[in-house]
Amino acid sequence: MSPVNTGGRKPKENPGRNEYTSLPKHGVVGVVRLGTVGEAVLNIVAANIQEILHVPVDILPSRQPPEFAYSDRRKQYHAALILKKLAESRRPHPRILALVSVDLFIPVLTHVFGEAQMGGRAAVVSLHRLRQKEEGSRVSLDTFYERAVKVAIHEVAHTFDLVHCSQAECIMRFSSGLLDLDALPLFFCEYCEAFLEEAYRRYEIQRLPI
Amino acid sequence: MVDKVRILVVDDELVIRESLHGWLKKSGYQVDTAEGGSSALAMLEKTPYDLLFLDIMMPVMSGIEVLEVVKEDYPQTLVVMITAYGSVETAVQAMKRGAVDYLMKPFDPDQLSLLTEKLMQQKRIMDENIFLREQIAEAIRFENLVGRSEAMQELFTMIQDVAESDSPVLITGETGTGKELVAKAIHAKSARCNGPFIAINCGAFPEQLLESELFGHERGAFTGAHRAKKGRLDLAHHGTLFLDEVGTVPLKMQVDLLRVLETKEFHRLGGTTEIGVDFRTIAATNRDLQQAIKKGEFRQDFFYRLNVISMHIPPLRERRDDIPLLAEHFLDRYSRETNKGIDTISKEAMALLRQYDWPGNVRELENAIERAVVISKKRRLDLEEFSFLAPHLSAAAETYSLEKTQIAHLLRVLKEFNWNITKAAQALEINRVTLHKKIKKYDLRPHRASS
Repeated sequence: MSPVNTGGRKPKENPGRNEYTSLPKHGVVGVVRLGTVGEAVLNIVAANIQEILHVPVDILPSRQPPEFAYSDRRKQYHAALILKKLAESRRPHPRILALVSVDLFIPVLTHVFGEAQMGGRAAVVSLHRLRQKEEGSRVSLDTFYERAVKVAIHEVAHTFDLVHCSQAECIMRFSSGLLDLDALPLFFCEYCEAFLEEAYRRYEIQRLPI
Repeated sequence: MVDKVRILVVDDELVIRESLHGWLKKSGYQVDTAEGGSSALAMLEKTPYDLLFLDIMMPVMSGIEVLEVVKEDYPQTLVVMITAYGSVETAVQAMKRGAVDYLMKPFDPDQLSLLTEKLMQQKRIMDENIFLREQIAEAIRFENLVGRSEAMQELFTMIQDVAESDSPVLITGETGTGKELVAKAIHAKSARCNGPFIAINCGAFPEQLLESELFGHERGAFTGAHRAKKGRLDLAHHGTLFLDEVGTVPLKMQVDLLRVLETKEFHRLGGTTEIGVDFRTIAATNRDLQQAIKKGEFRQDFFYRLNVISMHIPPLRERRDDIPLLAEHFLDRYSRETNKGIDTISKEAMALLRQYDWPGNVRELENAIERAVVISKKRRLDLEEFSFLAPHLSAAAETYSLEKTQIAHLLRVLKEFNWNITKAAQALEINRVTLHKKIKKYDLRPHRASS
């Protein structure tokens, strides 16, 4: 696994410098936490995106919780507003993924684990429901991390135009609940893998050597 | 990956349109949005959407109003109503009017996903159903309507042309020529092919029963009418009504039927409510209706109403060239149905079939082949399997072929003496060697079981 650029190294302050000379000046995906999100889950998500999507990932400095997206009526955070804000980021990364610990919604749905702009720049993952079991008790940290990674990869893949997949053995299969999410594999089916490769070519993304 | 299913989201709220659009797009569907009923209907005119998510509460044109138009004009499009908390009752009303389901905002992701998948499955089944209907229509187009003769080719062309119009058709032809098959073929090729094909043999019912069969009756309309019953006129709605043996319809009922054909309205026996119907009429007869009109047995106005387009099916004896083709066609069918593996008809037997007059036309030929297949114990149908046609053959042979008469006679005698050559030769008053030569010459064979 190639090392992830961590938040300690700030690309904005060191433009053009990279201690890993084989890597581009900045990652393809910038991962940012908005508000209180654990260090461990942030690092695990970033590392796994790099490993599974084969693109360099940077961890960006933390930002304020997304209070601007709070809905009084729903008592939740509007995912589309967060995406809009993320898409406006001045970071050079072609893709920005935010991790939040608040509960997200989109107007037609009661909640979402994550949301992304199809073929766009921004994606967001909510950790709010990922620590629970279906019946409400808490799952182990390992399961929690795995869920966060799955949702993150699924959402980032949407930004590369991948749609939901009907294959059972594919991370792009839609999961409507936690049981579904736990059943998802941590890899793409061969079709989605091919679509992803094609998207990298289209977006001129240079993938990391395997 | 999901097939490109086309979905239209109709909601006056931008946020709902955008977020449902986004979610569905992520699931691989081709999604469009419309902010109101009239723009949705305009889009439906251009694009055959598979599924509509339709908000109930919209200004100008309500979701229910849009639903009614969609169900009327685009019945293949499935509609899911979107409703806000508190308007569930309206949503249930919508389902009674043809919506397949409803969703209450905001939807549970699980619910939306399951519903969409379920509806897509339903849609696939509907599409498959249409495809199968088309295949059946195609099969009906050819089934039994077999013929290479010029007369039949003209008939096929006419079926194609006639199917495109919605005018009444009168099919004439002798009994057994396939008038109902032609009517079915016209129906199957017409725009009404997805509707019912309702046939009634007008000659098969006494007057009172025919009236009840055609018009239906209300409960208590007559003794024994314990419950209301729909008539064939009712059942033929959106389809084709086939009036077979229309020449036998009593004069009084001709007046009633004429009124239905003109107004497309009728009432059931014992009822007063006018029922509107929309069907195409195809009538058939083997009677000379012009003669019947002269005799005062058939109304001229009724005749003109039925006879907008007339088609005549020639009797089989006037298209003998089609006999081998038809015979092979029926052989193939009955051989398969009975699992007998009979694959040919001998030259002699075919000559007999061609020569026979077929007063019962194609139906008689079909019955003859079926009967021969059933009694045959060989892989080939020979003259002996058609010995039941011999009385006609002997009558016909005097005017046709001496050789065929001889073959039939030999077979009859041989069969009578259970293929005892000596006895058969004595009866024929020829010697055994001559009989052997004749058997060899004409390739005459007994049933395998009796040989």
